[in-house]
Amino acid sequence: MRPEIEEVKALVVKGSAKKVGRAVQAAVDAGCDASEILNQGMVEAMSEVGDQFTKNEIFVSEMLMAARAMKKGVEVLQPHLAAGSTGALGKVIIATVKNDLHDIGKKLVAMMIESAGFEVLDLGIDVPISKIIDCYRKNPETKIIALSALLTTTMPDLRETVEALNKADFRSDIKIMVGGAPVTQAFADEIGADGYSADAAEAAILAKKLAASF
Amino acid sequence: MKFTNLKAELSDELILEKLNCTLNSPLHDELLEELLEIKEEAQGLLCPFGAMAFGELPKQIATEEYPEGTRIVYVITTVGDAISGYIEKYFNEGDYVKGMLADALADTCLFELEKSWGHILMEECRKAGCGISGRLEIPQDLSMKTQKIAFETIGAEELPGIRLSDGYMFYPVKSICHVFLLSKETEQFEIGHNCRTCRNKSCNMRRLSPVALQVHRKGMIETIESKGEESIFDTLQRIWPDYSAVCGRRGVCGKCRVQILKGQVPPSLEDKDYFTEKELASGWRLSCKAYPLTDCELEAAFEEDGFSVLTAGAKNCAGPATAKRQGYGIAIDMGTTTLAAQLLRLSDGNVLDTAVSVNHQRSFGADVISRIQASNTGKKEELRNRIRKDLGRLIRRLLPGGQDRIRPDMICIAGNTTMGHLLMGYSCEAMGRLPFAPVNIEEIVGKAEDILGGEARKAGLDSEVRVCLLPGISAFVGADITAGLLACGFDTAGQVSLFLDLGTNGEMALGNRERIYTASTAAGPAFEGGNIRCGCGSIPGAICHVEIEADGSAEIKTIDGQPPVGICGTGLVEAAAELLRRGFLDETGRLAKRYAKEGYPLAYTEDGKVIMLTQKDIRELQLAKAAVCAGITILVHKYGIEWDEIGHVFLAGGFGYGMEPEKAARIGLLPGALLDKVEIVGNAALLGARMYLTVSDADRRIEAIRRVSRETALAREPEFQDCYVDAMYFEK
Repeated sequence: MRPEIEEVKALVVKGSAKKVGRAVQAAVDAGCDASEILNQGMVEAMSEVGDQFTKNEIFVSEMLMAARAMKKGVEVLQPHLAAGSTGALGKVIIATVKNDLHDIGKKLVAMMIESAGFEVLDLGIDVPISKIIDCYRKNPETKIIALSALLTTTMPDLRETVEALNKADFRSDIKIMVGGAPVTQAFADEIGADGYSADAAEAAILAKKLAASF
Repeated sequence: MKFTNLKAELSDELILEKLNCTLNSPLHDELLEELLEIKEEAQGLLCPFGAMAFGELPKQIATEEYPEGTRIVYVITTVGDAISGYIEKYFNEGDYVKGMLADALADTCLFELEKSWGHILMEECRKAGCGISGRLEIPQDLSMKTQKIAFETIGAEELPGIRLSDGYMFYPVKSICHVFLLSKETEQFEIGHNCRTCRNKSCNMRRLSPVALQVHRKGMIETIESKGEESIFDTLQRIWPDYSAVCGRRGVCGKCRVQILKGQVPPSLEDKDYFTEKELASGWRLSCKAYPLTDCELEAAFEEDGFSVLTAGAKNCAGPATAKRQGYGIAIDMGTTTLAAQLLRLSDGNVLDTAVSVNHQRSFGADVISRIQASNTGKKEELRNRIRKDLGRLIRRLLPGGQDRIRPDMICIAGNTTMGHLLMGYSCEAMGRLPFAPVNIEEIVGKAEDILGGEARKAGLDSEVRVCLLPGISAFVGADITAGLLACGFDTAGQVSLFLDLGTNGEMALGNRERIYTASTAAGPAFEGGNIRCGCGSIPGAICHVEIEADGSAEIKTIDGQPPVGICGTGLVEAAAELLRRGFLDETGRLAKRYAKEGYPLAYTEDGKVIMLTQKDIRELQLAKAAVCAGITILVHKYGIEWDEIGHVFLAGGFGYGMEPEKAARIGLLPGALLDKVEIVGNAALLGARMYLTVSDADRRIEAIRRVSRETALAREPEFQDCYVDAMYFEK
C-alpha cells in the first residue's frame, strides 16, 4: 500500500476527522487512485475499527469518531471518484420492525454497513411490512434487507416481517439479516432469515458476506 | 397527579459517559467540543413533564414474584417529542456523532429527572401513608404490557402528547415508565435503581456499590466487603489468599460451597446442577458462581491444615548414609498440593525434624495445568513469590533460632517439572501445549538467595547454603519421580518394577537399571478428593477405610481417627470396591436403585451433615482409574514383558498410603495380576531427596536413571483409547 493511503487509513482508525480530509487530498495530489484511497484506506480502516469494537478493545464513541472521519474523507474524495464508487457493494434497506420504537442500535448498524461500502436506505422505526416492500419495489437493485427488534415482545413482529418477505416474489433476489438484543442465531434460523449478527461491527461483515453470496 | 416544573442537571461528563467516553478517553476533548456545539440548542428542545398514579397489579401483568393485587405506584415521564426530530435530523444528515450525542443528552435528561420528581413521589407516598420498598424494571421484572396499564391508570388526560404503540411503547420515544413497590413503612424509600438486582447485566451504565459479607469462619464472624462484580469466592480469596479453587472456579468441584444464612444470592445454573432443591432452599451456593445482591451473612468452609500421611510410611529402601558428610541438610518434597520438609543429620541420615504445609499456590488452581495457565496469563511472578515464601516458612520452622541453632549446608528439593519452573521463574509457555517442552529439567544448584530470593535470609539461611533442585525426565515426569525411582532402587535392580505415583496426574515408570519407560496420565483430581461431592484431601478426619455390610450399612475409618469430614481418594476407592462387592454397584458403574438418586450415605459429620457418595462421584472415579489402568497396560505392552515378570509395584504418594491393594485391584485400578506385588512406599520423592543428601554417589545414580529413561506419550499410542474405554468398567 502507498504511504499516503497508509496515512489515510491510520487517521480513520484514530478517528481524526480534521486530519483525514487533508490526508486524502495529499493522497490524491500524490497521484493515488481514488478508489484505492476509498477501499484500501477508508473501508479497510473501518473494518479494522469494527473488529476492535467486537473484541471490546474500543467503545462506541471511538467507532463513531472513526466513521465520521471516514465520512469527512469521502467528502474530499467525492469529486475524484467515478460515479457509483461509494455504495459500490449495493443497496441495503434497514428498518426496526413494526411496534418497536428502538432506533439507536439500528442506526449504528446502518452506519457501519455504510462504512463498509453499501448504500443504506434507513426506513426508521415501527416500520410496517408494506412500507418495506414498497421501498424494495422502488429500489429493486436492493441486495439486503436488515431488520431489528429490541424486545422479546416485538420478536413476533420480526418473525412476521421475515415470513412476509419470505413469501415475496423477489425473495431470491435479496438476503435478509436480523439483529437486536433478544435475537439469537437460533431465532434467525427458525424464522428463515439468511443471517444474524450480534453487534454493529459484525453486521457490516455479515452484509459483505451476504452480498457476495448471490 | 401531574409533575410540572421538572428540572434536570445535565453534566457534560454524564452525557459523554453514555457513549462510554470518560475523561481518560483519547477522544474525550473532541467529543466534548461537539457536545458543546449542540448542547444549548438541544436543551432548549427538552420539555420534561410526567405524572404518577397509585394502583394494584392487575392479573394480566402479575407474575409469580409480584402477584395480582400487589400495591404499586406508576410513574411516566418524558422529555417531549421535539428532541426526537432534532436527533433524527443529525442522523439523516449522516452526522452520527452529533446524533448520538443529542440522543445521549435526551436519555441523560430523562434519567436525571428522577431526582426532581423523586421528591414529589415521596411526598405523595407519605400523604398516602406508605413507603417504597423497591423498584421494578420493565421488561425484566414485569412485561411490556405494564406500560399500557400504567398509561391507562394514570390517564391520557394527565399525559398530553404521549401515545402508546401497539407494542406498548411510547411516543415520544424519549419517555419512560417506572413501577415502584409500595410498603407500609412510611420512612422507607428505595427508589433508586439497584444495579445488583437488575437483570440487565450487559448495560453499560451498570455500577455496583459494595456490599458487606459477614463470614462465619472457624468459629468467628468477620465482616468483609465485596466489591463490584466480584463473586463471593473472589472476595473470600482476596481476604484469605489460601481459600482455594480446586476446579479453577468453574463451578463443578463444590469445594467452595457456602451456606447463605441471610441476604439475597440468587442460585446460578451451576448451583441448580450441583445442589438439590432442598439444599438450594437452605442457602447452599457455589461461592465461585455466587453474586450477592444485598449484604449477606454466610458460612464458609475453610480446609484445615493437616498432613498426617505426608511424611509417614516412607519405607526406608534408601539404606544408611554412606556419604560420610558432616553437618546438616534439608530435604524437601515440593508437591503441587502440599510441601513436606525434613531436617537431617548428614553423618547418619537421621531425621531430626519434619515440617509440612499446604502449597499456597493452590489458590490458583489445584492441578499443574491450572498453574501453567495462571503463569501464562501474567501470574508468573506472583506464583514464584508464593512458593518462595512457603518454602522459606517451612525451612524456618525446621531451624528454630537460639544460640545453638542448626545451620544447614545444603537443601535438596524434589518437585514436579511445573513446580520447578514456577520456583525458578521460568516461562511455562511451552509446557501448556504441544510439544510440552520444559525450559530446563537438568539439575540446578545455586545459592539459597538465588533460588529462594529474599526468603532465604528471612528463613535464617546463611548466604553460602547451596540449594539443589533435582533433575527431571520430561515436562510431566519430573524430579519427584526421578527421586522416587532412586528411592526404590531402579538404578540397581535387574528385575523389572513398576512405580506409581497417583495424583491429579498419574505418573508411572516401568523398568530396571537397563531400561525405564515413563508415562503420565491425566487422571483428574478424583484421587485427591477433587470433583468429588464430599471429597477432601488427606487431612485428619478424611474417610480412608470403608467396609460395607450386606444390609448397606458402612463402617469407616478416618485419618488420625478424627470425626469424619469428607472422603479422600483412598476412601473413594475403598467405598467403590465395597459397594461393588455387596452388589450395590454394577460393573458398568451404576449405583443400585435405592442410592441412584440421592447417593450412598457413607457417614455423618460431627454436626450431623451426611457424607454422600454420588453417582457422579463414581463416574469421576471411573475416569480416573481407567486413565491409570490403561496407562499401566500400555507401558507393559510397550516394554514387551508379561505381567508375571514384574517383580515389584511401588505405590508412592499420599493417595496410595494406607490403601488396601486388594480393593484397588477389585475396582480395576491395578491389574489383578500385580496384586501380590504391591509395596506402599509413601512419600518417595522426599525419600529420594534425603538420599541425595546422604548417599555418596546419589547424583551419579540419578543421572543413570535419567539416561535409561524414555517417555511414552500415552495419548499418542493407538491402543490407548481402547484400553481406556475397556478399563472404565468395574471388571477384574
